[in-house]
Amino acid sequence: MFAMRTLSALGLALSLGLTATAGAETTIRVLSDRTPAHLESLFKHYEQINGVKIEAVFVKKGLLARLKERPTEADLVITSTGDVLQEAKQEGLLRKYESKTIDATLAAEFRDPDDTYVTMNYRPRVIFASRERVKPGEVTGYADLVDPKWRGRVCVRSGYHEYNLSFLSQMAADKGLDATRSFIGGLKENLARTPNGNDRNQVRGIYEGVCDIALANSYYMPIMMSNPEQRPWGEATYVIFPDQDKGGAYVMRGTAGLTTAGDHVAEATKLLEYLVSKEGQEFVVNTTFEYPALAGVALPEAVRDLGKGQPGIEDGRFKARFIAMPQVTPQRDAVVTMLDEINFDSK
Amino acid sequence: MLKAKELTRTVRRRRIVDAISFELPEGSTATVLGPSGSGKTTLLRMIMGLDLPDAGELHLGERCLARTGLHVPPETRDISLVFQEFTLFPNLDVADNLAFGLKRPHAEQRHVDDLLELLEIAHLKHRRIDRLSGGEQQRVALARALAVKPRVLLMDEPFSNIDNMLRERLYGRLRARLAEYGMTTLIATHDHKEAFFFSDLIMVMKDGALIDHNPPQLIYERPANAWVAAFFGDANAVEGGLLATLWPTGDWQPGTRYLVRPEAFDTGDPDAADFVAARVDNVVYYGAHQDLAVSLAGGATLKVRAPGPRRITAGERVGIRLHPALDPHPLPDPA
Amino acid sequence: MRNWLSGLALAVFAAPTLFVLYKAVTVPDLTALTRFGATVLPGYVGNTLTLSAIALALALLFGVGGAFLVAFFRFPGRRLLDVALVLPLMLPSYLVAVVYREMSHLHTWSPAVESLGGAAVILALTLYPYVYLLTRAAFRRVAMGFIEVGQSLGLNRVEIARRALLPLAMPAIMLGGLLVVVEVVSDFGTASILGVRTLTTAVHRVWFSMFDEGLAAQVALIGTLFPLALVVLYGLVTRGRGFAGPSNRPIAPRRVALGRHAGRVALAFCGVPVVAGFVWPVAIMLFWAAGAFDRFRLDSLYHDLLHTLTVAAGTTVAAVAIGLGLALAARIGDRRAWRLGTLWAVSLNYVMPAIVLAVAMLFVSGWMYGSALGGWLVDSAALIVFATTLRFTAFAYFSTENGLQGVSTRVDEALLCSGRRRLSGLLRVVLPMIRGPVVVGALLVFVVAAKELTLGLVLQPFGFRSLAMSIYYFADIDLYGPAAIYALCLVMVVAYPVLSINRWLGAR
Repeated sequence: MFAMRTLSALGLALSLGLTATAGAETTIRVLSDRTPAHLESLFKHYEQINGVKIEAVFVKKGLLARLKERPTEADLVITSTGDVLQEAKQEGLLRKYESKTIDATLAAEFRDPDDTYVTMNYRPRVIFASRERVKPGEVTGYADLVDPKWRGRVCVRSGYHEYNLSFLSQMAADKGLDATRSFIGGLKENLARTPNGNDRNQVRGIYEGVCDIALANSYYMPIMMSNPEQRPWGEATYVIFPDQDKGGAYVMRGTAGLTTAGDHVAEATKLLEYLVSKEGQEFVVNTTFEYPALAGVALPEAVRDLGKGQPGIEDGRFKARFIAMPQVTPQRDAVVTMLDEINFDSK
Repeated sequence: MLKAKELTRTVRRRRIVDAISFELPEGSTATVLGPSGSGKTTLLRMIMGLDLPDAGELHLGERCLARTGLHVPPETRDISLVFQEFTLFPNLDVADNLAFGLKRPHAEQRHVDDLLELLEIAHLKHRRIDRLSGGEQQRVALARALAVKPRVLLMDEPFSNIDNMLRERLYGRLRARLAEYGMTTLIATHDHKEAFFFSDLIMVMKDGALIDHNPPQLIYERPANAWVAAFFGDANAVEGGLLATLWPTGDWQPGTRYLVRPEAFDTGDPDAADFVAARVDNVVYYGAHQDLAVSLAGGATLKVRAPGPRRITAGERVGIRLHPALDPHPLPDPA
Repeated sequence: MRNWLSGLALAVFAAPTLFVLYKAVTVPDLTALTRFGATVLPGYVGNTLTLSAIALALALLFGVGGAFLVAFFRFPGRRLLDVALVLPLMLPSYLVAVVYREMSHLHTWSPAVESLGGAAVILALTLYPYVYLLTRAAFRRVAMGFIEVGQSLGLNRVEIARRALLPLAMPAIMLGGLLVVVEVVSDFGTASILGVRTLTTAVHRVWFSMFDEGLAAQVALIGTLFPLALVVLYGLVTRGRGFAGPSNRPIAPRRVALGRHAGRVALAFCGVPVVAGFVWPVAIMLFWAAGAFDRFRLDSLYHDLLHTLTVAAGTTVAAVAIGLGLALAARIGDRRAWRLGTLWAVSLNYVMPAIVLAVAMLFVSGWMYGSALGGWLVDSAALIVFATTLRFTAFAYFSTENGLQGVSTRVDEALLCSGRRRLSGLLRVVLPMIRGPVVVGALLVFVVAAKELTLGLVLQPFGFRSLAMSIYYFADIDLYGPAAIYALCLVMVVAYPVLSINRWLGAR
């Protein structure tokens, strides 16, 4: 369990039976679709140092539906893709945060133009390639995924998964619908098998020889390397940051924002500030192996190793292409329509 | 010939059927008569092969069906049983239930129709089983067993749910049909009228034992004991000495009890010759006849059957005499 | 008062369906559905039908075959198999799917399961016990009387089985098959783990990835049509009647000894689903769990266990009370329309994919959570219990109703003549008579409620997590060790109920 290992590495393995201190009267409620392990230790730490109680509910499915039906149930929402909070914002489900700290410390591209939510962290959708079968430099960008050269050699998870929908929506916003349609079509042509399983399963496909290249989020490499069973999958592959000379890699944003609930705005804002503070960011980066939104936060070694040897990549730092969220989500319906029409998920 | 020798079945150390032996000639009809719980059903189930005897033998013709170490499966015995609970298949209609045991149901359609007519259930041919009355179900069960024309037909209380009028119509027809098929038949019943109607042989069971078996007339007139006598109708057990004083015509032995059925008495003028005067204590009127309880001068009481038309009332004096043609037999006490 | 109460209950039961219907018909236009229909929908429908057909065929083979052998024959291992055949019911099928998927990746000898056929086999392996339990109970109830009649008419065992026993057990077999189809059609976990796109997985993605409520509701309704058609077919075939036994004291059939060779074949036939559906997956889970046990925190397991027990017990109490109330009300009312209405209202929530009910409940809770009662509902496990009760009362109702059918109406008449009040008569006489079916219904509700995942995932209150949810979270991020620990804990929770059901339904 990598999360726990990190926990102890951070020296925060405080006794777990402890509940929040007796004097804690405020309870901040958090609604999230992230993996529980990514946030639980951070919350625990926050409870210890601030004397508040955090109650979280991790809704892997239907977070937006739940937020829509019970908009003031939680104080803070944390999601694994920005698309969800952008939708929530458009539905009027988010409150403007008022924080000079955030305005001062966080770069503009990580702040929603209307200050309704922030990007806490991000990770690129990268290409995993076989160490054996793909020579360095042979694959450099997303365009290679649809190159007929790799026909029947590409693994991707379901096109309708949140990550791929966000990725394709960004592409549509960036390059237009026609380009995206031919990308989806070309990708389907190149698929080694019916899309199935999660991102790691695609990398495993390379290890098992089913495919040579796969599309997945960057942090899966460190995660796999820290898990004895999955380590061979990671070792069989290397990460290529795509399109470094063509505008950069598309990223998934981890986002957080305040709901319209009015009871604990100040406390929730404080928690939000903490999430993008140096300490909070270190926490997030070390548990998720994602990239921090705050400048000057050190990357863990496992992340610094990513893309080693790829020209232009130093210490895991890569060139990202940040597409503003308001341009991304409107593409979603069109992307789904194209996936349906191409019938991407069935081989 | 269906032959049983010392057939015995014990359940939880209780002898349900206790060493029963009998012989039924081919084509004959017999009844097993006895009160509830006397072991009739178990006897039939053993003959069918559904319950195993723990001692004794059973033969059908030359073939041994059961003895220690041998058990011929029921389906190959050429015997059929009409169950007391009918056990019709609820998923089939009447006609399909009837045809259930037939090897070639379509070829034997006329046979099926014929049986439906015989038992007056032709109009129910395509009726669902749960839409039938108890009597109708019983007739379907009967027809179903007849349909396969077994060599031996066993029937467990086959008319218990059928009303009297229909029952009497069915008796005659069924008896003729059984004779036509030449079936050996064994009927378990507690109704002695049914037994008299059908039987060449009547077997009386009590507590698992066969206590009497004889043709109908013999069993009625010379029952094995007073219990059997009472089972077939009212009986007077009259002491020989008393008979001798009343009707000195016979050769009565004092100290012996004789069976005198109520219908063996004539009633008449109490003051007429060879009539003995008696006082009527009680009368039950049955239409065709009336049953009297009378007491004699010496205090003895008798059950007497009188013809229906002339009503007799309690308290009246009446003359009785023993029917001259009757020949009372000694009646042993029950063991 | 009585009618008013059960009418209210029925309205509550029908509400989720009406909600979905409302969502489905109030979409402004049909373009989304038409496009869906012209592109991916036919594939989803085809997959769903094929998946159900294969799973049903296999479940019938395992279930009816196993029940037949165990009920009528004696062979080596029969006593053990009598119980063992029911064990796969304890496992969540999506974790069994994970086991097989992982094995197929690790070992070349392990068959590939990431296909429609693989999903069908795994679903059949975990669902056939429904068919097995019901069929075996029917065989034992129908029992000796009919076998004896067949024998007395000169038929051998095979003919009796073909012409009497199977037809007589048909209502039970069909009911078991129906349960299998409902579970397959509304399954999300197994299908998504093995990459099979069904109507239910489509509902999930349309609702939660496309945020299109109207289309999701429409697809959900299409998905519901198939099991509903089977419910209608079941009603037509059995014409609303079960087959009562031949006598009021049925005797279970005596078993016939099989020969050496036939005995081994029977053992193998019954052994395959037990090994493949339980022994092998549990062995792998034990292996995984052992590897993760030292890195594992037991305290969270304790909370999950408590939550699971709370939900399962709460659901059981509520479902049995409601099921009993509705069944008795339907009996007293004795109007065909009332009975049918109850049947439909109660079974609809079960026939629909769980996700539909989850979203409907989300809507309801959103509409009332501002109030004190609503706030309490949302903040406690009560909402989940409410939802699982709506979904699983069908089990309690069917079981009770079935038991009541075995109680002659003469009993009611006798009660009326006895001069007691009707209710006290029901409680003192009828209730003890249907104790068996009520207990079986209760245990079934407990088992399915303990295993329920989707409702928990969507409706979880703050601080709530069940065993099934933890299994899902861990399996989702490929942490099979902890997932296996939670799964084995879940197995222990449902073990006693499952074994009890088995006993009540006539295992020796």
